[in-house]
Amino acid sequence: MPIINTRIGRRSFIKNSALAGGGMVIGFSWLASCKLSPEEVLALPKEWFDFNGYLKIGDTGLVTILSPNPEIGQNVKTSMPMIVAEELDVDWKNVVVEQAPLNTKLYSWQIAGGSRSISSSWDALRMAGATARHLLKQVVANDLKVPMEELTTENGVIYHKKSNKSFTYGQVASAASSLEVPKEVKLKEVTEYKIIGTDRKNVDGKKIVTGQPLFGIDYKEAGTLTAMLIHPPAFGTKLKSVDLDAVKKMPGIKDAFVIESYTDGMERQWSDVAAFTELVVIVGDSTWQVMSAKKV
Amino acid sequence: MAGISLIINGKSQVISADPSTPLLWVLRDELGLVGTKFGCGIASCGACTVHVEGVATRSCILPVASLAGKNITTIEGLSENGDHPVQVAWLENDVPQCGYCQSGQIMSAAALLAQNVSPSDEDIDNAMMGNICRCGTYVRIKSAIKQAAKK
Repeated sequence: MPIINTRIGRRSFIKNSALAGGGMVIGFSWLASCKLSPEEVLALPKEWFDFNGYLKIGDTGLVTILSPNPEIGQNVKTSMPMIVAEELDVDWKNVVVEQAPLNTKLYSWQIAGGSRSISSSWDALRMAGATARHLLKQVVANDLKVPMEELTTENGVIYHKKSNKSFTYGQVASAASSLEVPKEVKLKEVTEYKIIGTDRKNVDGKKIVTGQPLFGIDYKEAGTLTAMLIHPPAFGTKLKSVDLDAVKKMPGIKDAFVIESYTDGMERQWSDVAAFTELVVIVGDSTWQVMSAKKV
Repeated sequence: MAGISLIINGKSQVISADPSTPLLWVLRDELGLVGTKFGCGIASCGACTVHVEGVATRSCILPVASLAGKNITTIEGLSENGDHPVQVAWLENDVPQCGYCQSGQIMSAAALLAQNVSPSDEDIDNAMMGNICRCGTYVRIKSAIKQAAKK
């Protein structure tokens, strides 16, 4: 059986108390929006337990997996969590996927490019799932006073066949999340894979086909203003004149100003000299007001 | 200035934006219906497609002034529970990749099927040619439309 050293991502295995779920306030509608058929999945947990930067397990056994890399249509928001779920050994239908925030300490290479998302995170994703599975099994081994080797897992349940006992991940998640992380953990053999190598649908499919907020342009806080840039018509050209006062008189416009895209004294390479070095910024209440002001 | 009154997803709404504002920005900025997307702003990509009186229409260049009293349907109002035959077919065929263009694609497809219950390949091409997809999901879009047409 392949073994992986947990040290690669050791920094990411921040120990978390039972307060782990404290910041997450979620409702049924949130789950319904993530799942095609919410009635078939495990109930929403009262409490979530953080295992590492990649996954949380709820007291009902529902699992949240965070997908670290930017999703730009290559479907990594689906495929990266599949790898974690595989090693965790849970039923994919009981997995909820969230986009992870940018965190360079927790994750490596949160970039989309060069077809590298999966290859660069393959080990870390497997390790995250396998480590959590190890800790969950450890709780049962300690409780039953049996060696870990006598325990098996399947679809979010730990079995001790000899004594005919079983425990769900939800039952032992709390205890497991506070155990010491081992130096190395076992990974599944390729022949044991049940999720990797199979077709799974886009985890955001339902949100996309019903037009729910999903993209950067869809998010807005109360009082958010809109700002836009005006580029010169060609690379390397300089701003001759701009009537900022006329722009500021346009309806809904809060401000207009010129920015230099490079700081003073920056040593410029050839491409920097030829870039958009001076830009006009217009800030206003709404998108169309700003777009209209751009034409002044 | 008196607000323009529109019927959006079956609900009458009085709009406070300037009458020259395109419908897209009224939907997104004023009404918070962000399912309709901004792509090119010149009606060349289809991401902003909505139904005006049932007809697929690009909302990014359509001033609200021209829409008083008109029935407008957006992706949010296409069905109550996301179960319009086109939405179901889209999920079953796993059409979306990044998903940005898909509400426009779905609105164009739904308008097509409302007019033509069994479109030929050519009918589909003609109706959908104004909706572009950077991920290149066209093959699955076509399969999904054919599947939805059977329902």
